This record gives sequence, structure tokens and C-alpha cells, in this order.
Amino acid sequence: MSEHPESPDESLVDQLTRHQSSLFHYILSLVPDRASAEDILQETNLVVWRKASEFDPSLPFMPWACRIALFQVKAHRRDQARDRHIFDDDVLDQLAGEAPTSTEARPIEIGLRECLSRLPEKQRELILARYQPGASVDTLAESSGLTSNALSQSLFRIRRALAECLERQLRTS
Amino acid sequence: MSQSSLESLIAAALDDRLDASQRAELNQHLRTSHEARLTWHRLARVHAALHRFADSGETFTPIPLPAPVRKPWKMTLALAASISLLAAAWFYNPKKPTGPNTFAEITTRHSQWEGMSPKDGPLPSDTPLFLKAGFASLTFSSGVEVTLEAPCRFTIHGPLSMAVDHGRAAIKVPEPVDQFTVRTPGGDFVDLGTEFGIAVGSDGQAPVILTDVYEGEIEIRPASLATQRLLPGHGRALLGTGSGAQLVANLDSDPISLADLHRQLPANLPNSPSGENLALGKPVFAPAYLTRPHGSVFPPDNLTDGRTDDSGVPGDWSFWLAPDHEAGSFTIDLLETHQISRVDLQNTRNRNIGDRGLKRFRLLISNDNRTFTPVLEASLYAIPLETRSFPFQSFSFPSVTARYVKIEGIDHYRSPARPVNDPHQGGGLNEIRIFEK
Repeated sequence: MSEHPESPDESLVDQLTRHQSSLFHYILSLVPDRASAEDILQETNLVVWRKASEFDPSLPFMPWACRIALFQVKAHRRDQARDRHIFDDDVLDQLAGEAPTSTEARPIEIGLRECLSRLPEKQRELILARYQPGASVDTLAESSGLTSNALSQSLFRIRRALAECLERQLRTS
Repeated sequence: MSQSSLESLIAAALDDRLDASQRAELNQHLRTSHEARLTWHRLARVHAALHRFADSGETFTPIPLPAPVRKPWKMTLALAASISLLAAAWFYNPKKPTGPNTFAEITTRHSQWEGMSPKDGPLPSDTPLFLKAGFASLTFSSGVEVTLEAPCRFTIHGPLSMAVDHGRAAIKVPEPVDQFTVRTPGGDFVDLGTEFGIAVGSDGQAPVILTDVYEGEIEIRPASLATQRLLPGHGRALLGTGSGAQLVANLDSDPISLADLHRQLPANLPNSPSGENLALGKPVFAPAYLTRPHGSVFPPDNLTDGRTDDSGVPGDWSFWLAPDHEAGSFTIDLLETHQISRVDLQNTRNRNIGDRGLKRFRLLISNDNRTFTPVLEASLYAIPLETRSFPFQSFSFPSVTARYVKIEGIDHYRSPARPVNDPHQGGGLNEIRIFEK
């Protein structure tokens, strides 16, 4: 036990701030739409704050926060039309159960930068353009002259290359 | 379900492009396959990291940077607002020309134009252009690069399409572009992410279009024939249009090849003349010249047209060929008498087997086109197959006064690939230049 323990509130703020990226990764693996994931993250933050008294600082933060995030994902889905759901309820539970909750997002994001630097310039420009706020495959396809399907497939190939590179990065880091 | 179809479904999910049936298919696969769920998580992790990178508002530099400073969650709305301002200024391809109707930028070398004469920079779309002399390269906003050789009539239609009505073009389509379409009078030639060449000509009545694939694969889509895919080393000629159209691998006895096409802008105009070329554009007469079907016509005017090397298109080649079995001869009319003391000759050669060039020749002069005086007898080099830029050879002699300059071929280069009794052999020459000094 620390000689000068932090107050629960201070500890929670620190944990919540440190795990924003990891929580976003978790939520986005269940709701791939960025805007929805951001909304759910904000709701999760509020709930975590409201439930601060239930948090045991001696236990890992992420599994506890991820349970709250999953609840918020489901709440978000209830507010959405069913045809907007990508995953069926049972598949969502399977994915949530297997989603890594202990992985730090920081090494992933550092590794991604390294992997981006290894991409051919055109591929890097394209994938970064896709992830600019406000960008969509359709608008990007229009400006680059590709069909949306062709562009989506190209983006996927780039993501796959990044995923393979990222795994090598994480193994060696 | 195959891995590729799972990946295709995941691609659609990450880009918010899943339809109902694809959604059901993806769910079924994820429900029943642990491997599929791992694949999903691997790609979702990249998806999230890319969003986070974009959220950082930083521009990419190839040198690995320290980890982004994580923004407290209370700041995310303000951050998103500021990033949206940046997004307004964003443009995917920095090379993309500005303006609503420009999809390509042009860079020229020694160009001459007929009609509209574009400057280097953004090029208007849907505007027919005629590059009369020299070279031009087009860089499309899609990343596609096209090198054009004069004479060439062309039109830009969009970031992934252009028309070539006449002339030669080399097209390079980089990843991640999947398709680039070149429209011609005979049909569409679709580059599937590769490099290929095209020569759009005519037999005088119908289009004759040669194509050669250097890397990857293209699709030929004639208006009235089945689509055909083409791999490197399998050049084709598309002959005619409509019900009479055909796609052939040989013209006469020669396989289709565009091996001598300029695939990038030459640094300098090859073989610039030194001094005033008195022969340029002057009429040339020959007792006969080679003519075969499908635009394989090689008249003597090609000798003074200023076009060098192995260039041109069916019906408009840049070189002269004597009739089969003859070394050939021709006479240039300088239109007035000149003091001349030098001729520069550029030989030619068959681009597949290297024959057809003149070997030994006589040069004669006249002022009345009846009585000719011999001036010199000499030999030309054979041009090796691997040579892409053809050399000129200079032949100097004491200054003489002449209006007519005649070249008589004595013999020509042969190839072991054509037997002695092969009918398709004879002399040829690419260009002649005549100088006072």
C-alpha cells in the first residue's frame, strides 16, 4: 500500500485518460463506424465517471471499462435501426469476448507510424486520405476517379499490408 | 467461404459499404470461424490505429515520430472541430491539378501543336489536342502516367480515361489504380494496373491499332468482339470495326511489337540536327515503295518528315521501305539549287529481327533530275535490335551545287531469321538530312 494513496477520483481520471485510445480500439472493433465509436466512447467516459465509486483501483482498469463500453455499444445499437447493425447480437458477444482488453494502444499506434513509413508513397497517401475526418470511400473514389468498389479493395490490401507489418513490429518491440 | 471473399466482406464492413446479404454472410462466417474473428480483430486494430493517427491532426513524415500526445477525452469534440477545418483543405493527391475540369498535367519536350497549344501544367479535359511534333507526358490525378509521341491526337476524359484517335502512347498504371481506359476508334484498351503501349493508326479506311504489353495485363474491348486479355509478349493488332473487326497476332509475317515506344519523356530530343537541314519537309520520289494491307505503307516522304527512330503508327510510319527484294532508291527535290557538302542518314531496322536497313549506297546529285553525278559510295551500320535511339551517320564530300539528291541502295541487311527465298525482305531508311556544311 502506498504511503500517500491517491484519491479514487484522481486514480480514475489518470486511468481513463491513459486508456482513451485502447477503449476506442475496443469499441471500434465492435462498431466500425468512427462517428458511432466516438459517441460510444463519450458515453462510456460519462458512465465510468458516474460509477467511479465502484472502481477498485487494485484491479486492472481496462476489463472493467470494457464491460461498461460493451454495455454502451449495446445501448447504442438499441437506439439504431436494426438494419444499421453490422453484427448480429450473438456475433457481437463473440467478438466482444475475444477482443483484446489488455492490449495497450500506444505500441500499436507507434508501430503503425513505422509501417506507414514503409508503404509506397501512393498507397500511404491513399490510406491516410481515407481516414481524414469527413472522408468517405465514395467521396474519395469520386476525387480519385476510381469506382468505390475498386477503391475499397485497394484500401483493404493496404490495411492487410499494414496489419502484417504491425504484427512484425509488435513481435520485435 | 474463401479467405478472399471474407476479406472482401471485411473491406466492405470497414468502409461502411455492406449490403444486407453481405452482412448476413459476414455474420455467418464470424459466428462459425474463430480464424475469421481473429482476422477481423487484426484488421479492426489497424482501422482504429489509422483513425487515431488521423485524429492526431499530424501530417505524415517518413521518419518515425514519437507517439502522439494523447488528448484527454474532454478535448475530443474541440479537436474534431479543428480537424474538420483541416479536412476542408485536404486533397488526396498532391499532384492533382486544380480546376473543375482538369484531370491531368502535361509536361512537354520540343513540342509543336496544331490548334490549341497547351502550356506545361494542368490540361483541360474533353478538349481534343494534336501534338504535331515532339513528346509529351501526362500525369493524371489518379497517378496514371502516359507518354505521347508526335504526331498524336488525344483527349483527356477523366482521371481514369482518355482517347487516342491517332498516334503512339505508353501507359503506366500504378497501384492502387485498378483500371485505366484508352478509347480508340476501334475499341477500348483497358489497363488493369500495368504498363502497355498502343499505336493507333489506319489502313486508310478502318482503324488499325497495335498494342504491346510490357508488364501486367490489359483487356482489349473491341466494340463487336469478345473482350480479350493480353499478357506481356503477346502483342495484338485490332483491325477494323463492327462485324468485320478482328484481333490478330501478326501483321504480314511479323509478330506485333511496339518495343521501340518511348515509355517515358526523353531527356533531350534525340538526334537534333546540327545546322539547317535543307531536306526537311522536301518532296521525295521513289520508283516504288513497300505497301501491304493494314496500313503497312512506307512511302518515301517519310524520309524527310523530321520523324526519327522507329516511330509512327499503321498508315503513318516514320520510315521508308523499298519494295520486297529491292535495296531501293529515292530522290529528294530541294526545290532550288543549294551548295551542299554533307548528308546525314539514319538507318532503320525491323524491330523483331533487325533486318531491312540499307547497307551500301551511292549518293548522286543533279540539277535537272535527268543527269546524275555520283558523289560518294559508302556503307551504313546495321542498327542492333537492342538499340532504342537510332544514330545518324554523317557523310561529307567537297561542296557541290545540287537541286536533286539521289540515294541508290546497293544492298541491304538481312537476317538469318528470314530465309533467302523469304519474300519479305528489302531495303529501308528512316531519315535523310542534307546540309550546306
